[in-house]
Amino acid sequence: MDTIQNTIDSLTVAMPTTEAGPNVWMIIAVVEFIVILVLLLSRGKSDDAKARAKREVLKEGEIDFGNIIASPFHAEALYTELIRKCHPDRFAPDKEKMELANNLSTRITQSRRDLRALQNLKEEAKTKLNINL
Amino acid sequence: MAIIQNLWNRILEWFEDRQSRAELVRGFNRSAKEAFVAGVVPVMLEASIVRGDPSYRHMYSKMFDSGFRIKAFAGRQLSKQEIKIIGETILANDVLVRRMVVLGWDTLQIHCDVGNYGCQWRLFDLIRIGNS
Repeated sequence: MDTIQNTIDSLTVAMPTTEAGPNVWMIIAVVEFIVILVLLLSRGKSDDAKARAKREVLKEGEIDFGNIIASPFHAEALYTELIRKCHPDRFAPDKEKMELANNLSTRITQSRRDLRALQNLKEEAKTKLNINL
Repeated sequence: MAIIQNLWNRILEWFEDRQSRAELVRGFNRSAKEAFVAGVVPVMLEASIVRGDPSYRHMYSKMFDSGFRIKAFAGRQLSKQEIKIIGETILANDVLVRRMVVLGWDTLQIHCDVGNYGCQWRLFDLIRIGNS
């Protein structure tokens, strides 16, 4: 019985009961919570502008992934063919066609990495410049 | 009440962003797989979300997963020129680049399944918001 009592006494000495009052860790936790809340809720004018720009961009419509994926492997060959066959110098005697070819060449260069746009330009070149592609 | 509304909007926005990002990656991977299976392209591309380059950060950047990585399964080391063409094609699409930027990506990385080099681009240099 004495041994048990001694053990209980030694435990009581080793683990003193916590004193009532403000706990430091609780205060730190509360401060952290307030900081997080303030950061979450703080929303300046720049944030609103950001959100507006974001909404506009997300409304821009569908992205043609098929075209994006096919373009790196097929656009370059089509571009080379088109830019060669639509060169304005090939239509030198005809000023109207030369003007058209010049316009087409500019658009072909702009669409160098866009297969779909190049295919459309190819059709346009066929009909307007009357060339075989 | 306004505070709660604000907080609620932020939470909703976070979930919407997550969904939009996942949809974009899924859409890319689905199209890449279909193009490869149909024989349209000789290389299978796969997009994933990775850690971006911290020096490329911008105002929309996500804290951790700000990199958009495209892995090309070619079975061989692609040349730098081939990797560059894939990257330039993606960057030439203004709509895609703008969407990637506002959804929190700041780095585009391209590399292949074989070899030890790839290319990366800073996305924010290539956007024109409000001017499509």
